[in-house]
Amino acid sequence: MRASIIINSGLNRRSLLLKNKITPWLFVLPGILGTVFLRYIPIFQAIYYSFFQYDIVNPPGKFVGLDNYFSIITKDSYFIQSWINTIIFLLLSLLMTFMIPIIQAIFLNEVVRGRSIFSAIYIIPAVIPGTVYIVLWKWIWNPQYGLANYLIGRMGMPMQSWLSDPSWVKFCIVFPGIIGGGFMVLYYLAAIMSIPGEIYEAGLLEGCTGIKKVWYIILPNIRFLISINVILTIIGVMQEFDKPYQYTQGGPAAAAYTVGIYIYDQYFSYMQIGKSASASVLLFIVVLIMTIIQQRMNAKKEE
Amino acid sequence: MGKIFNLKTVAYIFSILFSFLILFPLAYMASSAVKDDISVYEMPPKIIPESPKSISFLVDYSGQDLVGSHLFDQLKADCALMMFSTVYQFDKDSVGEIKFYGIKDGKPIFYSRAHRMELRLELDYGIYKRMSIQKSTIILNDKYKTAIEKIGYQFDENGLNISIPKLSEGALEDKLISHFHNENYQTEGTYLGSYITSDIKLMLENFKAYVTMPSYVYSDYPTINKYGFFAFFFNTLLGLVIALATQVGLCALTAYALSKLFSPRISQVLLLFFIATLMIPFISIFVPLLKMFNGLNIKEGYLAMFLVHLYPDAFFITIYKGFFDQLPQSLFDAAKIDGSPEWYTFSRICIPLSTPIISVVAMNTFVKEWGNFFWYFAVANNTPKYWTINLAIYEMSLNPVMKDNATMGIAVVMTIPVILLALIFSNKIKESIALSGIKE
Repeated sequence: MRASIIINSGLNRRSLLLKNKITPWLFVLPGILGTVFLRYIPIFQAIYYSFFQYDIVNPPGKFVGLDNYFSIITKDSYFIQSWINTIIFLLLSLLMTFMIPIIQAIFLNEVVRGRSIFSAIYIIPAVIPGTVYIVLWKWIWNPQYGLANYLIGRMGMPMQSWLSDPSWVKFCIVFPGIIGGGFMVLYYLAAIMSIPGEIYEAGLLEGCTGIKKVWYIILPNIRFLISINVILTIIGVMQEFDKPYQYTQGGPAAAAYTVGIYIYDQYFSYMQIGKSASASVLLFIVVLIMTIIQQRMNAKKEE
Repeated sequence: MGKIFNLKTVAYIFSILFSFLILFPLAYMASSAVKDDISVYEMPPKIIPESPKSISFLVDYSGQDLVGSHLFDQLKADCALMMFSTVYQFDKDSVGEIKFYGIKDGKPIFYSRAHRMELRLELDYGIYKRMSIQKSTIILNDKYKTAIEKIGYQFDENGLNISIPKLSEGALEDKLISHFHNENYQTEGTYLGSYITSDIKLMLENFKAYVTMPSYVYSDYPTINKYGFFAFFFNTLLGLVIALATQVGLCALTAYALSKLFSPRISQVLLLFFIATLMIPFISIFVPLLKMFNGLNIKEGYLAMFLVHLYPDAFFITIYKGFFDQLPQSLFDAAKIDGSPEWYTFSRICIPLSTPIISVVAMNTFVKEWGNFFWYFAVANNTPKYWTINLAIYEMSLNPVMKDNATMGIAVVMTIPVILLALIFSNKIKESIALSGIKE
């Protein structure tokens, strides 16, 4: 009798210990499963497919080594074009729209009365879905009935065909971003407002006011957030699919054809899974490098 | 001192300017939406649209010996003829609504009223789709009966309790008189004339038509035919609920284990395991994902659409973990000594303390999912009944039968609720950002 009780309690203690060991894993198990199945397996599969001339009937088809990579880089003009376009999109975004939230935040910091109204308005672009803006701007750029040509005409300039013109299309897709706004303004504002007051006071004694204050005090103090955002913008534009696809499906004359659209098209239009996968892997590598740079910067900041 | 004042003035000017830049395209969208299907294509585009006209037709049946159902049918035929032919022939005159008064012996016996867009829907996609409108086609196959039943009417042979408007005169009235003297459009009752006024409220009624429009345009699909725009709204809502539940719940669960249950070393390895997924561009894995789902025989439908949400976003895990790390450890130790199970500690102690960070995650998830396009486009593009609002707007903007005022209208319908939410919660959003954003 007694012996069995002792054995039992020993078992209980052991099972309790086991339970303590298992519980944490039960907490993370759903997350790990989801991440493995929806992130890790797919990316390894993409890498795997990229080495095959994929055959739908007989998957995965013929092993071709790095041939897919060579063929898209050397023979496929669309692939090269898609990277050139993506880089132009990137430069346009950095030149035209990247600075706007910073400027808005700097001005918002100076505004005292009505700041809450302005910041409420600045939130609006963040909550409106991209598709709504795209439909709206397609209407504005409409060559026949759109507002853009009307205003251009009023100013005495020649009308354009905007989204149908290969030389304008990239501009037209990036331009709507000049309205700025979004959560980014508030992040910048929070960063600017956290600059200690003594720095301003010291600056004031040195005659650091107006534009000088912005240049010598505010910008250097939010430099870190800006550089993180540059990287995030680069990563974002690299993967861009939604906007150029919804505006023009990558056209006209492949002028808005991005890497994202290339990957999509190779699969949906040409069933070239191998090529699509190798383009995916190349994009993954570029994003990987960018992310590592960003992490390095993070680590440096924390030191 | 002068310079500080200068920067302030410039700041105000630019803030107002930027606010205008943000609001102007939205105002233009709204103004296009309240225009009718002709004036939206007018050049130059008017920012403030013209107020639509309300036309009341007065038709007399006194001299006729029709009674009962014959009279009733005749009234319906005349009403349908006048309504549809007016919208059809006078589409440039910004007719907003049409009222029809059937009069017998000085008393109104029949009344019906239709908004322009309602009639336009029947002409473009509905009962009179692709037909030229005149007397012979209106009464063809008793179509007018269906149309008038749909529009609604009041009928009482002994007289309705409504007042008849006075007749008015003008250029449009002259055109209408000659129109209804044309034998193709001549009514059986005697056309007495019309009363024309303008009513700005009619513009807002456009939206009622926009919301039902999908059920006309995609009438081949039973779900959309029945629920119209709300079918898309339901799909979007479903996606939002699933995304919110996963990101708010699953990420909290994972982060809790990382923060409180594992040893620091295991926790760090696991965190790295999750964070590494941030480097994987979604566009790079969508083909393997599609193939994986195909392999599981999930080719379309809600499973294919929403299964991809079921993983914790590493960004939210880090936000949660950062917050949980700061919660006082003593609380958790006390719970442990009391012998409360981990699940209880998590759901009854940790979660109630975490409402600020939950709202950060919820807000970010909401915004992300509300704008989600690509995956739904990849799996549900060909099956309209699974479209989310985003996908529906995109597809409708490409559909050649959709007029641009309707596309803008549906875009406005989708925009207004989120703008209101953003304005109502703007302070909450600012707090959230201050909470999650200051890494400086």
